Amino acid sequence: MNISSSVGVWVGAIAALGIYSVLVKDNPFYRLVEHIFVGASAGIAIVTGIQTFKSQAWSPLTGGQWLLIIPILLGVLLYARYVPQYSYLNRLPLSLMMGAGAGVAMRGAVESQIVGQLTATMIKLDTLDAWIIFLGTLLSLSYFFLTYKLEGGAGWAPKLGRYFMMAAFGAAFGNTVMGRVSAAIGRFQFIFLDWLGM
Amino acid sequence: MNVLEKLQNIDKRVFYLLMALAIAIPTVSPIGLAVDVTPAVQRTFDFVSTLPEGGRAVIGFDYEPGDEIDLNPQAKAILHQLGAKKIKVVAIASFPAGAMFAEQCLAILEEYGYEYGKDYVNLGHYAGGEATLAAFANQPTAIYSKDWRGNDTASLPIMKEVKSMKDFSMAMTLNDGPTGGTGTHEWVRQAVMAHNVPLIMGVTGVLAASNETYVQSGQCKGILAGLRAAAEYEKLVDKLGDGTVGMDAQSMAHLLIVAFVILGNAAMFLSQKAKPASKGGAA
Repeated sequence: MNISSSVGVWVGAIAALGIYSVLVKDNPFYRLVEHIFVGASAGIAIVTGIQTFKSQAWSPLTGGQWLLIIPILLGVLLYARYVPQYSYLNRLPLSLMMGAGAGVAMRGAVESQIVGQLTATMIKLDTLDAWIIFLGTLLSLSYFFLTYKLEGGAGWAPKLGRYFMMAAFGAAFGNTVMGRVSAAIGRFQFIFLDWLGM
Repeated sequence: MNVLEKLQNIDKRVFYLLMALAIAIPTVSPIGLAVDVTPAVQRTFDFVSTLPEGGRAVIGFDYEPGDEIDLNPQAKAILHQLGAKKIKVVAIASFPAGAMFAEQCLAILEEYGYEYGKDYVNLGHYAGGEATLAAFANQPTAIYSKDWRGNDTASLPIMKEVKSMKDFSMAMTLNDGPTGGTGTHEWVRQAVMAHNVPLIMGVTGVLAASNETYVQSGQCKGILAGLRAAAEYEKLVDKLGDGTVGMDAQSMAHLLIVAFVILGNAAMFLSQKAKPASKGGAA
């Protein structure tokens, strides 16, 4: 064993053990580490915000880009919501943000998430995979055909669609489990390899 | 309580302990299980292999520390391939921590004789998600006046070559989801749809299923999902790293989960079968 002499590694390892201790039972050590984590996250967010303001707004403004005063003032107006008689003013920057956000997203959304995905289902049905994609799409859509209930002879379509979706949820859940196990592996590697040097 | 009931009511701490052992033992004493390359990872590798030597790639380090274990090994593996092909790299990050991870991973490029500012650059964190990515795609230096190390971006040789997203041969996002940063959907919209730049994704296991659709539709050239994909890519570039080290632990943990799912369900079915049939009728 070659135990780390880095203070940062020791703090990280003790904090990881503190968080894992909740798996046995809720305890003060866990709550202490949790509160430190929340506090540190808030601190990082504030520092990041200040740095972003300096680099994206203040430095260019004082460097001669005077038009930046407009978005800076609009940003300040977001805080008008905390002053009841002027709270209506925060609607202006909010509206602009929502409009700009929607506009930027719309630029490719229709093509990437509707047309592109629809086109991907219009394929030559010469493989099993192609048939699964084709039928899975149609039958899953039939499950959400809510204008009237498909019953009797047509009732099998939404039922099969539900099975296709359940298979997809199973795949997604399996990947989620894999991701969570990976997170644990990362911490264990940190504890055993980086901290304890095993 | 009979055996079947006990199997359905195992103390969860027993499971946690077994899971800890399943991960800890292979971490300390690797077993060396084989890693086969799956078609999705091979396709991604093949696509990167087709990029022209000396081209340029933009990589978004769009993840936070919780997903470092999945995405750092992916980044390192793909940077080995880019380094071998002398492809210049521009790194950006939609999370503050992403810039730090970029700095760690980009150090690999120096093994291939890369020079900072000329062959690669870490531009650091940007706020504003998709809107800022769109602005970056139109004029990168308008968003980044300074890089992560505090240099003026306009003075860096690599940034003089990049006027817009179209100047990149490839875009890649290493992504753990859109909350607080730029998600994969946003990259598809801004890199692929708006500028027609080929995109590959490195995502956490959680995001794999929802993004696979972009590969099937051809909008994304390849996808790496989770630590497993990192291990496979390490095998392809012949640089074994954290992904490979984690595979034994992942396999053991998955075996344990599968065993518990089978045991729990079997116990439930058998105990239901063993119950006497209800005589029916409410009192």
